[in-house]
Amino acid sequence: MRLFQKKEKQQETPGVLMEEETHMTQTEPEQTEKGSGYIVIPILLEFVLGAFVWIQAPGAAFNYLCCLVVMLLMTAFIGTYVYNRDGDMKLFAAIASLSAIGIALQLVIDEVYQTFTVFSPLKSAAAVVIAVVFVLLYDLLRRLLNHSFSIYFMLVFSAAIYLTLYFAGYDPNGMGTSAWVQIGGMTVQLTDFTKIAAVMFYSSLFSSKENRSESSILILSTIFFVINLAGSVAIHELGSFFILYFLHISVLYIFMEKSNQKRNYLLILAGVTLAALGTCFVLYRYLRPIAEAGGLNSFTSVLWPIVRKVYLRFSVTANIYSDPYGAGYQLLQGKKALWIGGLFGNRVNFNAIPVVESDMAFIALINSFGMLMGFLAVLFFARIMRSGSKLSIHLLETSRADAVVVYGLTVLLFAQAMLVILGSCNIIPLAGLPIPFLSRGGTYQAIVFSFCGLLLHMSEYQGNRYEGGDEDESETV
Amino acid sequence: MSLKPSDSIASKRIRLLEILALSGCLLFAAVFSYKYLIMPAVSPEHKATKNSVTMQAVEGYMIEGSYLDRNGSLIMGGSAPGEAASAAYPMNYSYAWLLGYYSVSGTSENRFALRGNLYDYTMFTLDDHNTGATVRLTTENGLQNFAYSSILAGMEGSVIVIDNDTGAILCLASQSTIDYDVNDPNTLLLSDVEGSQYRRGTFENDPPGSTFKIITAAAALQMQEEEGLDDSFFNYNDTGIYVAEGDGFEITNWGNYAYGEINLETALNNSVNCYFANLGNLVGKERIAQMAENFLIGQEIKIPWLGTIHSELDFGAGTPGDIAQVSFGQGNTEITPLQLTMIAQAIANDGMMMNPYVVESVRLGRLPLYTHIQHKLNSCLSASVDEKLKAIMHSTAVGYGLDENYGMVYAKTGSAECPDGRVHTYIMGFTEDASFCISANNSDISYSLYSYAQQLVSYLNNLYGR
Repeated sequence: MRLFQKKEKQQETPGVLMEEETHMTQTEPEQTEKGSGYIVIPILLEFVLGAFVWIQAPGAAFNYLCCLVVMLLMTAFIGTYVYNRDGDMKLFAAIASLSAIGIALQLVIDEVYQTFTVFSPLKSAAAVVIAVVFVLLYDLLRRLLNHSFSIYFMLVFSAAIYLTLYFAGYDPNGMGTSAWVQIGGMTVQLTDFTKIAAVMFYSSLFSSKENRSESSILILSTIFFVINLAGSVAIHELGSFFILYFLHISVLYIFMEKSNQKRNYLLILAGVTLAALGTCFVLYRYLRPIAEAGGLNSFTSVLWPIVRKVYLRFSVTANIYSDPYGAGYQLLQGKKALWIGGLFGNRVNFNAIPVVESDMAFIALINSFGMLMGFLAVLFFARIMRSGSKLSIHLLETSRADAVVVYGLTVLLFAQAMLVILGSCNIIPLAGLPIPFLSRGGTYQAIVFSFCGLLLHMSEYQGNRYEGGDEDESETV
Repeated sequence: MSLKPSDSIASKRIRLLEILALSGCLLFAAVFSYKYLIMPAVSPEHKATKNSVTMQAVEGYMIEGSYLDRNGSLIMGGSAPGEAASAAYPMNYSYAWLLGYYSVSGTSENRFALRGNLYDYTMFTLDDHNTGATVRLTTENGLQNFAYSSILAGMEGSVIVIDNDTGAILCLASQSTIDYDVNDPNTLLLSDVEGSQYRRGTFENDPPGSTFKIITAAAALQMQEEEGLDDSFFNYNDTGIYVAEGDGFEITNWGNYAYGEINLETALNNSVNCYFANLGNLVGKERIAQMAENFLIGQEIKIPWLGTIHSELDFGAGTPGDIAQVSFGQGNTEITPLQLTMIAQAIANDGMMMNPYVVESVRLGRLPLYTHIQHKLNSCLSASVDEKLKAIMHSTAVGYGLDENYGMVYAKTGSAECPDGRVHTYIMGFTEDASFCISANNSDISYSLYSYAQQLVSYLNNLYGR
């Protein structure tokens, strides 16, 4: 029996509770003692980062000092909260540390690099507030996930996002991607909400309340997948789709029963993906002279930007010098930064890296704070992956839907981080996406903090927060 | 609660993906550490690649750090963004061999001397104005220019001056077969003269000639002290010819002079080869080798940021003939002019050899990046032996015209017949403040160096306010 259930018993049989609480104090302290030390990691790191900021960009030191006060308070408050609720302190340490690295990095970026936007710590604070609200609302949302209509709702929700973006979206960066809408004075990147929709969709799909057949799972998930594919192509946002694609394949691989049908489906999907890539290369050769001659028709003019983007991303990865002043420029500058960065950051004022505040944030991290801090960031992302996987496995005992949610959130954080990190280091084709924690962007920060909040929330009481599982919708703390 | 079979499989798959993800992270960290951190630290090619990338990135705005002398006077610097630093005349020549150059392209570096060794500070550590760190040397511009223009004056050789107490190199002027202008490294790099990248003074390993007689004399004085011998030990009847036992080779004095009854002082004053050949065999190979070792002959000596100097003590088969050859500075023994200056400095400093250094400090604005800490290399002589040696060297210096008008000066000349037929001449010595060595490659005779030594000592006395 767990702590939150004992609270219920307290009202019924106080005598029994006393006995059981005594038992708890004898067995639990060892585990809680182990976790308490992890709060020190982000606190120490926040001070160390202060030294880095002061050395690399003295002009940003005052701003960091102001942020440091808030960060220390939040680390202490949230850390204590998670600790008291027996949450995963390692996960908390990783999240808090990455947040601190991200804030320090963004302040240095504003001071040292040429950027189009200015980092706002207030937006980060607002993102934390949004995350708290999201976590509070999640208990309600969770109950809805066990109803079949939520699947269809998420399908419609995702489609609505893409339709909105197709008709009302705009591109503030001039990169050809219409992933933003303007609401009042605010710019919101709607594609980030498709990630929440995806997690909720798959959670609902695998809820044990609805015993769906393999076929229905495959059909429904394929419809969702196609909506995302079509929407992404329509708004020219392939980066986010890349993440959803990975989520789609891995969720089906993990949570579906072992069967020939599933295996064939995944193999066909992989084959189609490769064929699509091959087609892009062929089409590029075919369409390029037509495009250069200005002879694209209404169909090929839609196709050409996608084909060109895919081709260039792959060709530049294969040979970074194929277009050193065009498509390869960003990566080439990134490569220079990797060489120059050294263990503790460059000392030659090298700052000619395009889009450092977003896609190239990891490169900026190495360039400014050194390879050591870069590896530390990767280590923290790995910790998130480890904690999320562990929690997801644990939740399989009680609720598949919860396990899918945790796995989905973990993958969205880790996969996006690593895909962009590896892309910016020219190991795989670069996807123009922000890196969780490290990149700026109000909407994405809110989404990331919401994901993290939810992961910490679900890790409470050593992952037994929703002990009743899918069957007991009302039993929450 | 146990997992259902399907959930058990799911948990295994989650674990599998987790392992893959963590392995990927580890692999990423390992590969990047190897490529960008470890290899540049251990492999010259990777280091050159890193430097090449850095140079490409910064060459448009980087301002090379300045080099200042001990008084803070500019030697080289003042460059504009994207341009190499330069030195004004005559320092572009007098310092050329000391400052050297640095360039990098692809996986190969071209580097020489201080600029080649300090580039990490002067080019790759920039302040807010993109200016590299400032290097303060121990040299004195006036002395360096004087040594180059007035003493060497086109003569192949070197002039080295070291402060007696600290080991600070006040002057390291060199003139080689190439008239190297530090503002134009191509004057050196495009040279087709063999061994053109050759800074005399630190690279020039030749037999020390009669300057080695100081070592033999010191070993003999040490022996006298240890064995309680009286001064008659040093008496010798010189016939102008010495034939070592079991060796048919005749050793003669310069000019075939015969000096008759002489002692150590007159022998050193007149640089009598036969005397020292005999004395060497009396003292023995072990004692001479020990004294040479005390003066670090045969050992590698590191001069911070400048390089390592080498020397060699070679007794051949160790026969009396070989010992005789070594004792008066011929044979295969090889020493650099800088080490001869260090020997003089050790005698001047009561037997204590200091580590010579030429870089005083490196600073980026007010931030110190490097500061030299003075330290001794070895205690070479006992105080009493040192006093006796000083007395003999002083009377020798007086014989060179370095009389009381120059203050207390101690000196010894040397002429070495090199295996390739050159005659390499030296004059080493010290005043009460500084030690020096003037080395002339391919000169006829050491007499010609007397006037140079007199000029140098006058300059040093003036510099130290005597």
